[in-house]
This record gives sequence, structure tokens and C-alpha cells, in this order.
Amino acid sequence: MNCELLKKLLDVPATEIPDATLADIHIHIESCHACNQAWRMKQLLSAALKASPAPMLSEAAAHRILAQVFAADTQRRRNVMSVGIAAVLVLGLALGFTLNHFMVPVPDYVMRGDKLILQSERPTTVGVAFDAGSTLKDVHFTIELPAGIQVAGQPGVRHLTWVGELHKGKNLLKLPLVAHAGTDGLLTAKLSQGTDHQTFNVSIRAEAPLPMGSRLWHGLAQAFDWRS
Amino acid sequence: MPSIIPFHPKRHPQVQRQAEFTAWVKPHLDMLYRTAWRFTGHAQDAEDLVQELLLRLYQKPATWIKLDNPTTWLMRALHNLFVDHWRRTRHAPLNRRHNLSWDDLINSMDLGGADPERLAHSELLQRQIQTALASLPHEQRTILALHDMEGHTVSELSVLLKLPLGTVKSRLFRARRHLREIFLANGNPGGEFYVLGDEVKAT
Repeated sequence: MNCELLKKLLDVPATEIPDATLADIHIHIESCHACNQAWRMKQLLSAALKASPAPMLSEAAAHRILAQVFAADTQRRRNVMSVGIAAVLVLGLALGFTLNHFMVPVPDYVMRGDKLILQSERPTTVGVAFDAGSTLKDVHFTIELPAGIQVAGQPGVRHLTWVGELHKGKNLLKLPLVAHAGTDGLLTAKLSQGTDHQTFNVSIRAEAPLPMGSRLWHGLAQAFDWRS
Repeated sequence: MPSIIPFHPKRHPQVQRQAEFTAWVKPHLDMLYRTAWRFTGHAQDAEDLVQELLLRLYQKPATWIKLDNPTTWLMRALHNLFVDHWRRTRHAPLNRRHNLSWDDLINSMDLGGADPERLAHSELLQRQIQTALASLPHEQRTILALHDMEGHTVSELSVLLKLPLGTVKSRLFRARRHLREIFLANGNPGGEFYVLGDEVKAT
């Protein structure tokens, strides 16, 4: 070992230097002050780099990063959906509420004018009917619920999207919802196929349990499609 | 009788995908952020870099779902994102973009029972190291970060960066030499050192 050779090894990681060479280096630096200083400097730099601190990612920051990723992805999807929406709609749809009398003889919701009234704090299956002029495949369904209303069994879920199809004629979507008392807002149903879409808004409100007589009356009224 | 529209709220794709992605990526987040911080030298930039990587990943579930050993893949993706795209959008010199105070940095470390005097010396040294690192070109800083700070071996870096072993070694050699030169020039213009106990200190 000599000073020139040692100088060339100063920037080689110690793990890459053979043991025999390392032994030669140690013998050399015992008798060479300049090389001793340089070698110690190399070791100090390596140790300092290894010990160099980096901040930890806090839980809050991790949550923030993921939330921004999901929000950006949602925004991108919305942008894609909104691009190229044609003025010509091929969906011939009509929105209305139908009584699902097979499942709930007395419904837990009523229509008051144009407003859907739900019984608060109780899972309620709401039927939303779409009338399609022809069979439509690959229809993107999007349901957005107002704050205070969520899908039964899925706390916090107020935005739903999935792909399905509509048959010619009436199609019924049964939404299991739970609403908190005092909730008042819009239920939005969006249907799109390719670049065509339609959006339906329904005013919705949650109230304390209805009196039994009122529920029966509204149930009968809707079962027979008869209003007083 | 109306046709019933299939509705499966328990299989809601968006919510399920977010939950799956979160569970998949969370064990790697700290490593990604730490490495991103070493690359960028800036807390907010590190968050931005990680966020951009995760967004790209999230939008390609076919990529991340089938990864058996994601660590190497993630590190490579982070490195490539930094080198190929991210750095072009950030023009400010790194050494002017350190906004995390040294106190914050020290507080984030697990110091254990470190001797205060020794820590003071280390702090001075670390400041000099950070200054020197910030002056390095990005490709040298990243390879030093991955090898000397994050502890990846030369062989691992060869796989991770998809570079021949010899190329990794030569890049690492140049990076270390450059760092040493900058360190000597910045921290110790005269190139003199004094010995304190078993350690060598820059004057």
C-alpha cells in the first residue's frame, strides 16, 4: 500500500474493498499521518451519512397524502366523465318513485309534494324507477346522497358508482338508506352511457317516526297509486 | 313488473379500491417519504413527490395489485419519477429550499441517551453534510441517499436502478468524491482536521 493507492480508495465504499487491502491500509496509516487523517475523514463522512436524520412521516401527513391521491383521482374521473358530453341524449328516462310493495307493505317513506320524506335513524329501502326506451348496456350509475344520509351498513358512504344495464321499460333501483333527523338535501342520480348522461335530483328530508295512521294512509295511497 | 337494477353497495368499487390501496401502500409510506425527502431535501416537495407517485399507481391497479415485492419497485418508481419528471418542474436550488428547521429534524430523531456534547458535534457535522449534499447534482445525491443513507447495497442498486454493477460503482465513486470535495471546501477551507478523542473533527 502507498499514498497514491490509498487516495484512490478514499471514495470506494468500505464494503467494496477486499479485507486484505483493508489490512494493508491499516498498516499504512499507522505510519503515514496524512493518509491517517484522510482515511479517518472518509470514515467520518460515511458514518455521518449513515446517521443523517430524515423526518418521520406523521399519521396526519400519511392520511393527508392518501386523501389527496383519492381526491385527485375522483376529480380526474369527473373530468373524464364531463369531457365530450354530447348535447344529444339517447337515454329516454323518466324518474319516479315506486312503491316496493313486495318488500315493505307499509313504506317508511312518503312523498310530500316533490319532497321525499324518510323516517330518521331507520334503514329504509327507497325505490327509484328509471324508464328506458330501449335496452342500454354499460350504463354508469352514480348516486350522490346529501350529508346526513348514507347507505345502510356503510357509514360515511354517500357517493356510489357502478356499472350496470337498463332493460327496456321500467327499471327499479332499490337503495337501502339511513338518514339522520333533520337532514335536508338533494339525492342526485346520474346515469351515463358513453358521452350521454342524465342527472336527476330529488329533494329528500329525514323526519322523526311518522304516526302509524299517517304511514298506513300514505302506504295505501301509494299502493293503489291513489292520492286524496 | 319493473326490472331490478343490480346494486351491491358492499362491493362498491371506489371504496373497496381505496381501502385495498391504503392497506397495500401504508407499510411503504414512511420509507417512500424518507427517501423522497433525501432526494428533494424539502418536506413539502417530498410529500408532493410521494403523492404524485401514489396517484399514478392508484390509477393503474393492475400494476400494484400483482407486485409480490413492492419495495424495490416502489423505490425505482420514486427515483425515476424524481429524475425524469419531477426535478424538471422544480428549479430552485436545493440548498435554498430546506424549510425544515434543524430543531424539527433533531426532534424527529430517536436520540436515546446520546451525550449532549457528542450530539453538538454531530449536529455541526450533520449541518455540513446537509449543505454539501444540497450542492450535489441530483443523480449523485440520489445514489448517495440510496446507498449511504438508506443502506442499499451496490448489487441492490444495480437491480433497483436497472444499471450495470460497474455503472453503479462508478457513479457512487464520483458522488462520494464530489461530496468529500464539497465538504472539505465548505466546512474546512484549509483542509485541516484535528483529532478529538477517537474522532476526527472538521475545523
